[in-house]
Parts: sequence; C-alpha cells; structure tokens
Amino acid sequence: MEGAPPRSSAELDVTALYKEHGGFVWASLSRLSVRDADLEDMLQEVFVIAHAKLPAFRGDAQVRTWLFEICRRVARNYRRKASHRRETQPSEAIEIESLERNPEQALAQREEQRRVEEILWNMDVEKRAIFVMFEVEHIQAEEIAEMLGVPPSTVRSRIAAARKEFGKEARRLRLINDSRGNRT
Amino acid sequence: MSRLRPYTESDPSSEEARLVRLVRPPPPMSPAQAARAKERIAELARAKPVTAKPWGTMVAVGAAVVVTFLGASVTLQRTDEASAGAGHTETQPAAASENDTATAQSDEIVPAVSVDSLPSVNPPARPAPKRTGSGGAIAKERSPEPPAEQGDALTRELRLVDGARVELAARPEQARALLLRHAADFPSGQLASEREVLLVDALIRLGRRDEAEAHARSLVAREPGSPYAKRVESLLSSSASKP
Repeated sequence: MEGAPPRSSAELDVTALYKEHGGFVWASLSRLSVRDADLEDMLQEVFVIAHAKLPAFRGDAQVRTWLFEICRRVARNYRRKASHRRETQPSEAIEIESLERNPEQALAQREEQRRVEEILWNMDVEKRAIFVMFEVEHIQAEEIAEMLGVPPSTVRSRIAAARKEFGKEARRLRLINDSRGNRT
Repeated sequence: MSRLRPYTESDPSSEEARLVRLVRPPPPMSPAQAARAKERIAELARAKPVTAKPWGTMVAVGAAVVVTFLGASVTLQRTDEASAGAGHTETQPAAASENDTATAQSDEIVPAVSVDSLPSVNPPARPAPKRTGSGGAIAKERSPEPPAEQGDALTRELRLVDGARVELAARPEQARALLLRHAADFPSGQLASEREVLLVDALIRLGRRDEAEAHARSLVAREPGSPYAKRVESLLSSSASKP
C-alpha cells in the first residue's frame, strides 16, 4: 500500500487502514511513550481521528507517515494528561517472577529500569520514539526515516540528540558513573 | 558517513548499552486486544466520516483541538466555539446545535479528547446491531445524512465516554461521574456497552466491588459472550486475584 498511496479516500477506509497498519500504530504509540495499559485505548483514539480525517487525506504523504503524525499528536496529549500519574504507574508485570528468584538484584534492577523509563518519559515523544526504534529495536536510520517521512540525516541527528540527552540524564540520575563498573 | 549503529552493537559493554537493554520494546498485541480493536474499528467504520475538507481547514480545527488537548480544564464550550469558527460549517448544518450541547455541559469540566478532533463525525443512520468485525466490511455504508441531533448525540456520547476513559487510571471518581452522566443522558445510547465496561473498571478501582459486580452481571446477562461481557469478566477476575 505504501508503494502506491491511494488517490482518494474511496479506496481506503478505516477498516482497511487498521488491517494494514494497526500493528504499526500500536508499536508507534508504545514507542511514543504510551504505557502498555493504555495502548488499546490510544489505538482506538488514533483510528477515531484517522477515520474523521480520512476524507481529507489525499495520499500526499505515505499512509504510515500520516498515521505516525496522528500517533504523535495523540501521544503528546496523552503524556500531558498522564504526567501527573507518572509515579503511580509502575509496570509491574515483569518483575514478580524475578523478585522471587533474586529479590535484591531484581529490586535494584527494577529501580534502575524505573529511572531509565523516567528519562525516556521526559524526552520529547518523537525523540523517544526514534531512540527506541534505533537503540532498542535496532531499526536502521534509513527505515525510520522512511516511516517518518523525513530525510535519513534528520533521523541521525535526532538519534544523536536523543543519545546526548539520555547520557546526560543517566549521569544526573547516577545510572552511569563515569568511573564505570559500579554495577555489572 | 560511517554507518551509525546502536549502542548494544557498537559498544555492547558500555553503560549506555546496559541501560538500553533495560528498555522494553513495544509489547505485542494480545489476541484479546486484537479482537477488541477489530471490533471497535468495525464499529467506527460504520460511522460515516464527512466529505473531504482541505488540509488547511483540518489543521485549523486541529489547532483548536490541540488547545483543548493541553488542558483538561478548558471547558467544552470554548472548544466548540473554536472548532465551529474554524471551518466546521460547510458540511455541517449542526454547528448551532452543537453549541447547545456545549452549553448544556459547560457547568462541568469534561476532559475532551478525540471527539474534539472529529467535530463532524456522524453516527450510523440507525443503531447498528453488534456484529463481529470482518475483512469483508471494507465497503462503507453510504447512508443518507442522519439528522443533526443524532450527530450531536454521538458526539456527546463520545465526549463523555472517551473523557472517562482518559480519567480512568488517574481519577476513577471523575471517570465514574462522567459515566453516570452518560448513563443518565443516554441510558441505551450507542456507547452504552462501552460505558458499562468502563464503569465496572472505575468501580473496581474505587474499591466498590459490589457495584462493579452488579453492573458486570447485568451487562453479561444482556450480551452474553460479547467482547464487552468478556472484558468485564476479565476485569473482575483479574482484580479478584489481587489482595
């Protein structure tokens, strides 16, 4: 579908859009900082907006780029609203098992993870998404560029900016000691 | 330019790489989530979007919307004025009555979310029976323009229900208030089932388990086996397993 953007909305409706790009929207929202528990609702949110805007979408942009833009707005709004409950929403699902195995280490790691999440949470959502795609999911800069409809050089500079911010914050939160080797 | 590589590949023993490994990639969509999403999208597809507007107009409306997005404290009236003024007129004879809607609600701060970005969404011509989404549902229903009040009704419904959804985790009491309002205004509205699910969720969060169970029971009795019924059942069972 990306190869030949539809010329009119008659060729595209929200069901087709979801079938083709639902997974992409889901992953994008997560990359853009929407928490697991809220992904389902925000997915719906994106498609509600896409549905309303579909008649105006003339294929000037790639469908995914267009959807990503909607995701970005939804995520920004979501993050603003959710910011006051940041502290109360730890993602608990993963740790119960590891807590039983090695409680002390698991707690330390959990705390570290929480701070890393906090760093990412405070990043601009798009910067965060690019960082996660590149560093965590190992998606190449060129591919990210295509998804976002920007030149690869832009993606590279945003990766650099995100890395800089990440490193700076990690040092500030003492997740990184410049003396190194404090934790393994 | 030399190829840029992620920390975990270019310098796997670095502190940065170690921290990056703590970040989880996007989770997969569970089968239950996928089923619900499909159902909800199919429902959405039955609400016919308005005829094309130029991007510029959409951006203008979007800007007004974003303003509302910023603060849940902005009242609805302002939003509706903004979006009505921003070019919400050419296909919608309903702009005026939408202001009535806003006035009716302006005594209460209602967090407006998606609905503000679709001031002109129309409901199906008739309340569509529940059906499971399928790939064959791609062709859109081309129903005649529904009466204006109907469009406003769905807009209001969405506003209340989506507002509640946004509030649910942080302020379940507020979510409950919005849902009760929906129940009062639209006892058997198009989003009634959705409302009941959210209400059950909110009541559980508020520790009002008996009420949650009562609502869940009547929903399950009304629509046994529906995605909504399954959802409340899983809400109740997952909250029951916690201390």
